Amino acid sequence: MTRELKIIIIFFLLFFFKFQLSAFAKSLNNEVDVNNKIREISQNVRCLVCQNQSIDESNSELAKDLKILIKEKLILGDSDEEIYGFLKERYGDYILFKPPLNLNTVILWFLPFIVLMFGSIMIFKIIKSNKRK
Amino acid sequence: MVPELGHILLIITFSIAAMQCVYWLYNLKHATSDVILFLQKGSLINFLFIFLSFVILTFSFITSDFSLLIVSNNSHTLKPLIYKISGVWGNHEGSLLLWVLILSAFTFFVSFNTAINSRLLASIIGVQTLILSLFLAFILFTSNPFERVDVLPLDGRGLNPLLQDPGLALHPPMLYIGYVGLSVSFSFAVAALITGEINKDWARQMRPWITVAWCALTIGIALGSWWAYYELGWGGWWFWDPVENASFMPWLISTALIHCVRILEKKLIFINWTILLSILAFSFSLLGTFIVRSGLLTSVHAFASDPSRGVFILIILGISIGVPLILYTIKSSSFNEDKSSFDIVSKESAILINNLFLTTATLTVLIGTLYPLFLDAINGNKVSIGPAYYNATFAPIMAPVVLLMAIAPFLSWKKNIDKNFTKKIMFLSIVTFLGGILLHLMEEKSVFALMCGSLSIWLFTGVITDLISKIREAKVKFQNINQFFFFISKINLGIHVAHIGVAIFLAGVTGEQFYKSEYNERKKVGDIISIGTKSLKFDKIENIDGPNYNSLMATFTLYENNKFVSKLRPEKRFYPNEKSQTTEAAILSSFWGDTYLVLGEGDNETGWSLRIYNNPLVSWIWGGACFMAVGGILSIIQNSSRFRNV
Repeated sequence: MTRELKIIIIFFLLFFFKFQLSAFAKSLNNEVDVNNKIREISQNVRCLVCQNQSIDESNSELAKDLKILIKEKLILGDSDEEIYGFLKERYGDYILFKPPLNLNTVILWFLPFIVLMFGSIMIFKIIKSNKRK
Repeated sequence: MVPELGHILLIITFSIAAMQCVYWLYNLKHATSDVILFLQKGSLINFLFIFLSFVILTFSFITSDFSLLIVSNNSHTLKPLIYKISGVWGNHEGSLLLWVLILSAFTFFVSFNTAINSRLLASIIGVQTLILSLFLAFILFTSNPFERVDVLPLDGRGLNPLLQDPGLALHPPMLYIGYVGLSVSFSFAVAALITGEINKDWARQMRPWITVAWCALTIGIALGSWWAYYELGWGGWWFWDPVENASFMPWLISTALIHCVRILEKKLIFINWTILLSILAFSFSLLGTFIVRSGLLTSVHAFASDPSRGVFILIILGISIGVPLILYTIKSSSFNEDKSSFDIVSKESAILINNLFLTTATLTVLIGTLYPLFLDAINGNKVSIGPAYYNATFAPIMAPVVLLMAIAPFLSWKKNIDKNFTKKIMFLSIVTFLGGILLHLMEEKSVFALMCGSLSIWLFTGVITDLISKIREAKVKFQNINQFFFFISKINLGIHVAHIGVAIFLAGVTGEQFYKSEYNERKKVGDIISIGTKSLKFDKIENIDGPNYNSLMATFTLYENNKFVSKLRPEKRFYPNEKSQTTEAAILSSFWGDTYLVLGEGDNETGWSLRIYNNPLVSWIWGGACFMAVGGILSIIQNSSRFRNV
């Protein structure tokens, strides 16, 4: 790898790091932020009445109630985790579109990356063995 | 009488196909021209008969022959003609008939591809016909489209109103052409395993078939997504729903296959991998067909409700996936590969890495789709796997693919001979960096928005840089059309167009995912809603009758900077025959973005609830898909022998 490439990579990392920080610094100041937050959370919550829709998309009564509930909790100052936790306790894992990481879902979350790792090692070996001598 | 004729035609075709298979297996070792001729004629007759049978079924739908079970269940006299026709494949039985029709068409076309050597060709037709007979058996024994009803109903039950839509009339046929098209490369692979013959020509003959299938899949998936966007009424375009995933997996695998087969075309290496991918691609197609049709994933019980069907599906999957895989384990080590070497920085390595990431991405989608079933079967726990999972797994796996996609075309086979390689990467990085800053200054969004947007800029710049340097190198003068195609083939325009398609698609995704804004309002007639520089005036709301529905239609006027732009008419439709309701969003599409307006519940006293979305760049998503498909078609044209050596 040439020196130029290294410099470029460092630049990129710095660039993204800066934005990473600014992304975390946001807080809920006004109505628009709260509404965006409700949308963000409700996209991850499954509507139990309809098939394969989140409560953000669904028009059912349950979805409306849940959205109001999320809003109330947000105004009270609950964090995302607390809200998800509450919903999970009340309705089970099934209600969250983002499956939690636990014993049931270890394979689900890690298998893709394990496969990627083994694949990389294999391909590295193939490329190495094919390298011109 | 006429429907019975269709049924009889299917029975005859099944017998012919079965006979062909026996004849082929009997003559496996000596494929003379007689054998080929017999197989060719057989596939011609199969195609004609299935086509006739399909025409008969379509005719029954058009004339509303309610003595047929599937017509009475899926059609209605008042339905517009186009939806009577699309109703043919809007159900399990009819869609299977369409499936075998396309399969027989592909078999027929490939059987006259005389450039393939005869032993290979005989086996290719043989394998295709074997699949055809399996499916015909499935249709005849469990899903007969020509089944009659005992008591003639007064009128049909109609088609689900959501499906009465031009986008969705075309979506299944396109998708099926894609699914079934992959059977050809599958047959090429199985034929190679049977005959033990494989060479560069094998890869060259196979590639156009994969590309055709891939283009059709791309268009089919894009149509489905477009339909979901404008018909389901909440502005999304992709939901990681199991049924969508079912069509996306064959697409991912065939994308890997298109790239991988190019190495084989250049020199005989990675034979096993190419064969395995070809088998897997069609296996995913089969899985896709059955996931959608069996209702396996939306409800586990639909599968068990008709056990004979389920068992049959398992048998077909077992034969068509299991047997080739067994053959593969026995035969795959017997192929002689070229002794060839390549550098770490070369096209070969780039394509290998592309294949690694694409197959891993496919696996991720597969796990996400089947895991809820798996977990439920293991310990009865239920999980939901939605976009959040795929954003965390699929997206990071695909990001390196895009990174590589921009620079891999710079590379040459075997070793890197581009002296400007580092310079080009420097250039790309600088443009991407500046583009990222510009994006950030325009509107500050999350870091993911920036990454996604930057990837699009990176890829776009990469493709353009490559295109310019290829055009400079080509130095072709073109006076006539042949030379023009020679030029296209020399600079490999198909690749550039398809890759630009990905960049456009990514730009669309960035706009839709991260820069979208939504407004929920409750307004009465006469009210004005203002959103940024735009304002919407609520003109009126009224009842209107359509051909087979009643509609509640609102009319709005959209102004931008106080200048009239357009009228918007969102609707809520009620279909009395089907007893169901649909929301028709009013969408004003433009190059830079859509205004998307949905009419919700309400009345004139308290006002109507309205949902308004601003979706920047959203149409680029489907535009990008079109570019990809056009790129595929171009690459077929530029690789046809006619333009290769002008």
